[in-house]
Amino acid sequence: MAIYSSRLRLALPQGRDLDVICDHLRTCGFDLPELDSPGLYPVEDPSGSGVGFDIFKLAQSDVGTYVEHGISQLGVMSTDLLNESGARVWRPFTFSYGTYPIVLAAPRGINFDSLSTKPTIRLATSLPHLTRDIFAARGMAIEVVPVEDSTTACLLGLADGYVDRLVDPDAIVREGFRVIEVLGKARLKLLINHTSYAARREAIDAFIECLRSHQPEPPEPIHIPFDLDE
Amino acid sequence: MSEYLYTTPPIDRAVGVRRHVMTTSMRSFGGWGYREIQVPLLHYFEALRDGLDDEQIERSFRFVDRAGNLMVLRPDVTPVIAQTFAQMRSPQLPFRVSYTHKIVRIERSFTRDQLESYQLGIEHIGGDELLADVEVLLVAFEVMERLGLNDFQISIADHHIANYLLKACGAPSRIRDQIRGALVARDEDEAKALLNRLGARSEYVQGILAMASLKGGPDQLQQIRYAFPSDRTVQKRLDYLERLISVLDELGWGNRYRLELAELTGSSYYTGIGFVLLSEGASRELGRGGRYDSLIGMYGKHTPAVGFSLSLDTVVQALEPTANHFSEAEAAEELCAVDPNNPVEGFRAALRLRETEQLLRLVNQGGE
Repeated sequence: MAIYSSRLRLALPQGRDLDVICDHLRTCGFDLPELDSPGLYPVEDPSGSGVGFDIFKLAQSDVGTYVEHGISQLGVMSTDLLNESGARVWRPFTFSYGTYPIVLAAPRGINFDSLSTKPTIRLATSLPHLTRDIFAARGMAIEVVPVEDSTTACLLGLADGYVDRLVDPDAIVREGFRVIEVLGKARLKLLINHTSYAARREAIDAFIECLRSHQPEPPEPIHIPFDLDE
Repeated sequence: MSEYLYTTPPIDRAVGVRRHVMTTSMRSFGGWGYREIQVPLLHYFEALRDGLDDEQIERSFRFVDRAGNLMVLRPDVTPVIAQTFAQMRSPQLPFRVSYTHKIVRIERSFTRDQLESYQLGIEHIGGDELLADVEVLLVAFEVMERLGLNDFQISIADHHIANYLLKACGAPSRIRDQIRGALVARDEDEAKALLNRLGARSEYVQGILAMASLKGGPDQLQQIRYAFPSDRTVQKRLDYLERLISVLDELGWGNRYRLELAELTGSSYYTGIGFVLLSEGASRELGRGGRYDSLIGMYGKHTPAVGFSLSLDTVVQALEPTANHFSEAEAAEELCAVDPNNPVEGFRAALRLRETEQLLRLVNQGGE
């Protein structure tokens, strides 16, 4: 199923981080236009390895699958979604941006103790595997409600709380939620298909070096809206 | 394997490629003195379980038979051969066997529910460690070349040194698994964060991070040597790995393997070198192997061993796009007409042709 080509394919995740990633690539010297329509965007390699790139965008959660099966040799994906997909890929480079806390949140006024007294804690999440693993490690029985939009699931009473990436703290405060606990961090990684690396070592090494030397300053950490803050 | 495999026309290209892979591999294995073994598909789970790790058990198919015994369908060939060997009275060492067997387990694939697949491989049981490790790698090199996988590469790691460092750094088993996962993913940042959170001593951080390096190569050995100048276990093992790679280099295989100490994939029974066979035409490993010195001891007398297996489906995937020549036999067949009203004459003609080994295909003279 792997693709034979002298060029390297790089899959980028649609969504919040896409523009920052594209800017990072441009500072590396990639002549990359706006990725406003689907399809492959061919760009030449500025590192001088002689290997061109075909860049395209994908749904965030699909990037790992494309890289694992060699359809794309390279990709960019967040670790929370990567762990969820179970894709077996290498992730040798961490971007300085795209780091988000993964939080357990619930409507304001609810804390861990009040959740724990419920006969069954029902948590909405787009990260069902991670959520099950975390609470299983604590020996807590929870019911996971797998949904894409976890805050709506909570607002409409489908769940007591939710586990998700905290991207916009102001938004969750506006909707009446507060963070109960930070469960981990999601980081943005460069993914590599390892059979591709064996054959394209020099070009991929040059690409990583290019990303590393043009790594932007990390943004300010996200403020976490705990109930205690008020 | 018999010659008939070459003269039975395949129904499609993939069938021809599968046949080619099986015949070519088994011929190479036989050429190095590995004799084919057949082992059962169905086993008593309790008898086999000591040689299976948690992941293999989770991916296996178990059921209760009519007598109430818990049975398992063979999820991996190596533990079954280890068990078979352990039951033999006085086998001559080194004991060399090859196999082409179906295994039944949940494999990671597009659909995530692939159940049956084929493994082809060899096991070299007993014998000197260096000689056996090199021999098995040479068989792997030969098979890859004879299959026509021109861009293949073998990545070699060492489970011995990885297990030693991960244990000695003081990490509890859950954290050890996480660090190992970070190494396999070449995630140096994650490995470093885990080690720092653990408060591991600086030499362990340095040594383990040397394994995580994406670039691999003999520099990894030097970095570990430098981090543990007075640890005799580490130094002795590094000496062994340097000897191994120097033999491979002197034999002219230096451009076909790469030392990648983080390539710690595969079953948990590996105790020495471990390796994976790669080709860019396949998205996954073509096969993997390694040394398992403790596995046979779980079923009987302790005996060191090393082996490797190929995943038939993945090798076929890598070869299929360029495999037009595997259906040559089809072109050579002769049509032999048989009249339904007087079939004997037509069948006699067919039998005469078969006496000369001519390939043929019967057709209805009245029109098919």
